[in-house]
Amino acid sequence: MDSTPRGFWARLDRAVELFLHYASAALLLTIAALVLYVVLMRYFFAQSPIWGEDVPRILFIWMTYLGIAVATKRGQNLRVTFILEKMPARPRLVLELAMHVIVVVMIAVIAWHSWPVIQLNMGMRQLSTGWSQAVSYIPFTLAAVLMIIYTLQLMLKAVRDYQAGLYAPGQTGGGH
Amino acid sequence: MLLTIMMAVLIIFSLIGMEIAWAIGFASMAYILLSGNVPLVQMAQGMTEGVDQFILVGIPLFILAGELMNMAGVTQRLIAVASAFVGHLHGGLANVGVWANFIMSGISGSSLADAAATGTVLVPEMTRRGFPPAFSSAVIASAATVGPIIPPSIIFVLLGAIVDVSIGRLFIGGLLPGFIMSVSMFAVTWYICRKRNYPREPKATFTQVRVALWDGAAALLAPIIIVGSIVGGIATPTEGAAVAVFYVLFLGVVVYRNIGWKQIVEAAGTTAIASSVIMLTVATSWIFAQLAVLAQLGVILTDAMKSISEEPWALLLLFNILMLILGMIMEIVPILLILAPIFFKLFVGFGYDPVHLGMIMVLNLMIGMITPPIGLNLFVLSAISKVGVIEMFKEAVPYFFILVAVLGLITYVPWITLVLPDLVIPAR
Repeated sequence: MDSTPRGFWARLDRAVELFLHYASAALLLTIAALVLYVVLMRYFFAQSPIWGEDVPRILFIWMTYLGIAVATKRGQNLRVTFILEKMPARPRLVLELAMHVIVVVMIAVIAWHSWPVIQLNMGMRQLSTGWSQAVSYIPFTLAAVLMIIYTLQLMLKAVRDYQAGLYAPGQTGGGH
Repeated sequence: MLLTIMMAVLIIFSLIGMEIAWAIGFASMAYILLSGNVPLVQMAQGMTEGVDQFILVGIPLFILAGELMNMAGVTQRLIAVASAFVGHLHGGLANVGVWANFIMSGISGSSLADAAATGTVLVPEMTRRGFPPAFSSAVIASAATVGPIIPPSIIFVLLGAIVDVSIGRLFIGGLLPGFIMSVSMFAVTWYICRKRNYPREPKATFTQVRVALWDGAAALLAPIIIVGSIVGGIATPTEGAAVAVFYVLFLGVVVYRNIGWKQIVEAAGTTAIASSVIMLTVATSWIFAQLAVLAQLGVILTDAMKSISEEPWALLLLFNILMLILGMIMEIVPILLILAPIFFKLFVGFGYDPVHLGMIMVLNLMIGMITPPIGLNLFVLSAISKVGVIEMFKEAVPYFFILVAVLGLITYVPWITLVLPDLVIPAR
């Protein structure tokens, strides 16, 4: 087993990514099963569980933000690169890094302001489930921390791609 | 002034390569900081509340149904059915591309998913038969624009979450316009292929047609079950999406026996992430839309349009031009979230049916899927065929014009959109 810190962090990084990936997959399958259960209960037994909409909705928010963290890590968020790809290597790197910095700062500011929202909702309970309303607001804050880490990783990757010569005009490699 | 800065930040940062969701977020944050009268907490709340709607849960479920459909080999079966009927006509496999997309639209709810699924199978095959890859890619990219018009449709689900319009009526309303789109694109394909003498497939024998139909029968039933459950009042659109997932699972696990746990988990993972990417854009667009209301974007836009003309037909023309241009340079989700509430309010005031408006808006945005610079269907096909986007667009120009003609027809003949929903689900 590789016990160097670099190996450990790389493994941890991979393990967290896989956990997020499979957790979001499991949440989606659970949502599908719950929604179908509600339809069947209503159609065949004329009764719908009281949580029929709320639980799938909350799981959907969790799935969304765990999935966004993975998408950020893999550089899968939707973006337009045709101008970037036509730029010379150095200005392109500078622009890429500047945009990543803006995103990191923006996510950090939003996450900072999401904390009072969580605290405010902590004591409120949902009628259908009895769960704290904060359950819906936690996923964004959690994902924000991950997105900041992953965007910083993308910045490092952009520098490495630039050094490896992948930023020549017309190249689609680098950055994302 | 603040509104202008907000729009400029959005467009400039989207075009220079910031992730589109965050470019929208950045424009919103710029407005909040510069205006000084909106707390940043509202943005933090919006990140959750923008996606906190049960109706949106249907979107990943429809995408999952499409993913599973591909894994179960449904795409190939539907292509075989289309091939048996139209492969021998002028256009050959290009016709098959048009009609396979038409049928696929009845199961999947996304233009991109249909473009990727049919393009992966058909473009290499068409290239082997001698079709130029730029033409093959252009046909598939254009044919896939019918995806969100024919039900089910994740774009209609999103629209139903934004404005007060029945998703069931939208679904039924898309049937006739979608059919007209496919017939028109079929006619263009037939004409071009005849002129250029592109290859045709041998005419299928009666037995081949029967086999293709039998083989694809369970897949062909899918649209009826999915749309039927929603329109028949058995399920809401979100629930209909879950029905779609389990029907496709039934096909893959029980009927075709080519799907196992591994594929199901793989499809769920891919879908969850693809849906999350859309939802991040929904969340930041939702915040932007709230701020746009505060900044009176609706009043400014409608006043500007009315200053040109107060005639409803002219306003509809302006609306179409604006949507076509925006569809070329922006992603669909922010356009819907920001502008649908504004324009629906304006035109419903003139007596237009929201289903008709939804059809016009979505068709405009679909045409944007095959026009540079942000024509996502062109990007998908470019990744498959390695043909440049501009080269492909040159071949897609006739399809662009025929789709604009269909748009004109649908805009000024509301009957085409409304006849079926008025019959099946009369408006409240």
